[in-house]
Amino acid sequence: MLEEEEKKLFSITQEIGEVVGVENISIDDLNRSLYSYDASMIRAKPCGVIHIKKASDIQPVLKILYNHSVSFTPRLAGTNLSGGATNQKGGFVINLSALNRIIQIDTTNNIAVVEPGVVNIKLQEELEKFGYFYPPDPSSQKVSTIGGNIGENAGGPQCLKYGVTSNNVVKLDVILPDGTEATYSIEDYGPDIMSLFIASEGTLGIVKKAYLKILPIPKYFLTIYSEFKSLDDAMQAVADIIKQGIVPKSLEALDRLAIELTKTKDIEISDETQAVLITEIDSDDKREIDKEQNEILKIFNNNSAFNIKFSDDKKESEKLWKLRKETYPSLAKIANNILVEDGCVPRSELVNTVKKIKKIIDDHRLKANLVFHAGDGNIHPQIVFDERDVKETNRIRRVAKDILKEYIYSGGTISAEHGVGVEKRAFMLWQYDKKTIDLFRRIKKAIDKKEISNPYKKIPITNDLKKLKRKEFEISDNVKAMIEEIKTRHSKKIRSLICGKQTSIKTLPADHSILSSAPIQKILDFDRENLTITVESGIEIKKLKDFLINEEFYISLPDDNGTVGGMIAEKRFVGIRDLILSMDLILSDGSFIRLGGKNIKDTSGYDITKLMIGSLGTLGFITSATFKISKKIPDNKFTKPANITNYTSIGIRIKNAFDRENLFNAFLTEKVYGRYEI
Amino acid sequence: MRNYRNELYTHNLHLKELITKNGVKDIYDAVSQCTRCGYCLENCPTYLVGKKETLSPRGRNQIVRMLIEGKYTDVNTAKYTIDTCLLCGACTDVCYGKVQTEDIVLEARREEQGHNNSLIYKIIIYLKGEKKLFDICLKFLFFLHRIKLSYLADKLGLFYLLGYPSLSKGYKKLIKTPKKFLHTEIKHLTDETDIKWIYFATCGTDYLFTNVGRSSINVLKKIYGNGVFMNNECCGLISYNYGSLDDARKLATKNIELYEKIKAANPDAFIVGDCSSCIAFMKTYPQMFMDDENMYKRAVDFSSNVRDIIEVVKPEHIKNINFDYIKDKKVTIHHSCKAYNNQDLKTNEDDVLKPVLKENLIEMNESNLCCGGAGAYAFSEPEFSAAILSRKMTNISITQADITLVSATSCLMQIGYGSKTSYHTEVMHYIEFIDRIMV
Repeated sequence: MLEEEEKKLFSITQEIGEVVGVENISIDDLNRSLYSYDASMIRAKPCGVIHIKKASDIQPVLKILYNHSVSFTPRLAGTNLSGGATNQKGGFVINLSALNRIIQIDTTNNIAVVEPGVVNIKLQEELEKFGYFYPPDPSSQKVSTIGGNIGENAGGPQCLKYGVTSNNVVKLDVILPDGTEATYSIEDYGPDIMSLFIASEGTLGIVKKAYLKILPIPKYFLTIYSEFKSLDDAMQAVADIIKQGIVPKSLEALDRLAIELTKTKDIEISDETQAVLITEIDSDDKREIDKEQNEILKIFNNNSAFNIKFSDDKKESEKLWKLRKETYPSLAKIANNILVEDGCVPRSELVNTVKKIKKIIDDHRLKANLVFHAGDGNIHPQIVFDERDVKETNRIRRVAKDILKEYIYSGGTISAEHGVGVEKRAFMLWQYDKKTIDLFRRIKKAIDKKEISNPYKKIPITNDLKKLKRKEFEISDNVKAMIEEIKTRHSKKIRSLICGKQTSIKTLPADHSILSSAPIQKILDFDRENLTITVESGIEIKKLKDFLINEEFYISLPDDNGTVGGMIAEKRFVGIRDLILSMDLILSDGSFIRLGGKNIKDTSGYDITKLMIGSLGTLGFITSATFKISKKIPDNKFTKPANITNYTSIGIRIKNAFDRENLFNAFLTEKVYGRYEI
Repeated sequence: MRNYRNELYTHNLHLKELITKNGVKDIYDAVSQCTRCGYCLENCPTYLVGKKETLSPRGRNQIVRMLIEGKYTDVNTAKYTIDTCLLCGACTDVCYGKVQTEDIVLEARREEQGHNNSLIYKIIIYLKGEKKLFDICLKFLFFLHRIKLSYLADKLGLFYLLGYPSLSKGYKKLIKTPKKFLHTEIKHLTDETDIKWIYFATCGTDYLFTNVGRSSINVLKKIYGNGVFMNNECCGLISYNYGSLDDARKLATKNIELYEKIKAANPDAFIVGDCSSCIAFMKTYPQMFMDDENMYKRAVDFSSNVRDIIEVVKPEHIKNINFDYIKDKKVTIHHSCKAYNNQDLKTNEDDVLKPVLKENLIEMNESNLCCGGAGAYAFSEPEFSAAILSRKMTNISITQADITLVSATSCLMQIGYGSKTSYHTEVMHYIEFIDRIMV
């Protein structure tokens, strides 16, 4: 290191040492070496490691780093699979694992308040004492922390029924990269800024405290294990279960390869078995469990399942799960390294994508497993190799790229749960077009002006890959016309009043021209197998509900005279954020932004879909949204958000990132974002 | 086999190959088995108290790998990571790849400056060769301790002067200083016929906790009948961990020879001892003889006949119970790591005691987490030892147990010390308890 740089490092070290104690900042080779890796293949040496022992130390430390423009990477258990916990710029790694207090468990309001270092399973164990659980249960839960789960929007087998991390966090106390403290919640007035931090992979600052949703453990559960003569039969059974309207707690599948490598003398499987399904259902209502059990067994029989076993006893159930839980360990015994790829496709594409991935693996004659969360379309090929063999490793990398392409071709995503990090950063360009990537970049810059928070992660640093042909909805002619209109207005700097049926607008503000969603009311896609519907934003809520009831489906929306777009933009009830999977929108400069698709899980970009909820037309024009639907009559309990005004400088900077010229619903800008200068 | 070695780093100086649960591997292959998944972290006592990668099993494996690959150059600057390992094996127990972290760490320690150079170690090894002299010296030291001279030495700062500051806390853990050692007492146990068991007196039992040995022999006689005292040498663990492999091999060879003599007339007899650390080590004797085919075979034969006292007592052996003794007594089990992890003896004590004690057997939270004793760890890493002990005592206090059972000497000393300074519980060896409840 140059003498100047050394001097700078020493003076920063001293300053930080005064905050955290000299014993808690290390710039020696041992610390730098052991914080240069995580659970991926990425290696990068930081200049030093800061160990945080008190949550109150985070802010002063970040202030110092911001002043000196030195980058940092927040780190907890370091089980990240995409390189997210390494510092790519030679800055500091901030070790927050010691912040492992469970601060409060409130079973009246169903909230748990925790520091980021609380290990997921430890939280579950404490909650169990009260008869509660915290839904996200990633396979890494024995070591991974809540902070890490938030950074990666962790899922887990239970997320099919209970949602991912993003659906189970209600408030976050964060320290932003410039050292300011802020609190964001799902009850805030305006856009859902809190949701940007979930799946942010440490690029938008550090979570100091998390307020999590906890639920009472359902009284009854049932685990069903079944074998199938073909993968097609198994997947058909999955499709039939979902079509029936049953949403199991978990639905896990293994293919023949996985069975071969996992079975031991304890676990006997016949040679006829080509696929195994493990289904788990739970409910507070015994009749419901019994009903679902009968329906599932009928479906299995219809699909030639055999060797069906089930149990409602915890210990016996663990035995039924054993085959699934042993897939990774059984590979670990024979391999030095295992590549666990991670992508999600719509359920309707599951069978085809699995077949294509199998072909890629077979063509390269690789030793691999195929394990998938059949319920949500998340496919995990697990491929064995030795990273010390450079040739083999490069071959595996090429295979991984081919597999990622298959996810995208099927309309899926390259990251369902493991994050983009460093490993998949470039491939974001395969999945998203350049305008969307630029929007991600602007959001990042809005919150992290100096770009010091976990740099070179998640967002591509070059632009040289082209978007692949991804299965996506056609843009309707009316939307195309709308894009042209918005472009024209942009060139003339004309302000627009975005609205649906104008049911919420009392008086037309001066110098605003109306931009209504009335022309766009199509139902773009109705997928019975996937339990999703994609509609243009101008469709009336009444029309949508009536259409679905006609088809014997339900959508959990309140009765309303307005449009779907209006309901989203106004956040008329809190739970709407758990219903919407993705959105398309047009920005004020005419950029068409396509986010996600029909995938149940997607952690690739920043969660703009949730950000738009409550944005009141100030960020973009929502053209369409994909909703979850159900065969069950909804309970029609809708909570209005408290709409707490929460003005921080981030708000206006985000507004600026979306709508620099303040052309969309400008009359609301001050009301929504407060009086701030950019 | 592919050659990935960095030729500049000669790491084959010590054990040529490691016997792992996934086959025999050389050290580079063994350490490369670690995929950095991190699942070991929450099982490692030093990580749990320190919450740093430099105190984790993954970190220990990775630094050794970096040393082998030439990416990290000086093992002596990695002492914070290498020397703080308890060698408890909890990591390997949960590791999917069964990475043998313990042995990997020991290989690194053998590279450190000062390893096998300690004066105390040299004195001990010399004295162990002269048994009678060793006995006399130890009795003298115990005498000095009993007349509070060690207390005086601590107050005068003598330990610091001598260069062993950790002894100033360490001497307080010496709670038992027997006047007569076990091996002199049980010398008579040599001429029996129809031998079912061969008693191995581990140093801890022999010199410190002689009651444990008496209980073991009582119980063995009751259950199995006739047995002999092996009149053994030290098992060699001290040399394996802190000294030279050759010293360990010498001691192991002597023990193997002693066993073979007895085995000749009693082919079915098993070797049994009551310190899980030593027994676990003896089960791995073959590891030291990978270079010598003949000795390897003899070591395999020896090791396959070694038993921990906790595994030879089975539920069906407890027929007549002294109910007066167990009345109203709450008991909890600390699963000594060398039994639980290294020997995979996870439920032996529970299987025997659950039907006897029923609801009075209280399950301890983190029962298999190391107590921080770990041989000389209490002396070499006093701060970590204290922090880990504190966690163990908290877990014991939650059970409110009157009696805490362990199966290793180190645990007897460490938790015994904890019992005096924090939550009071009567600490005894599992076999002492069995001896008391068997009528």
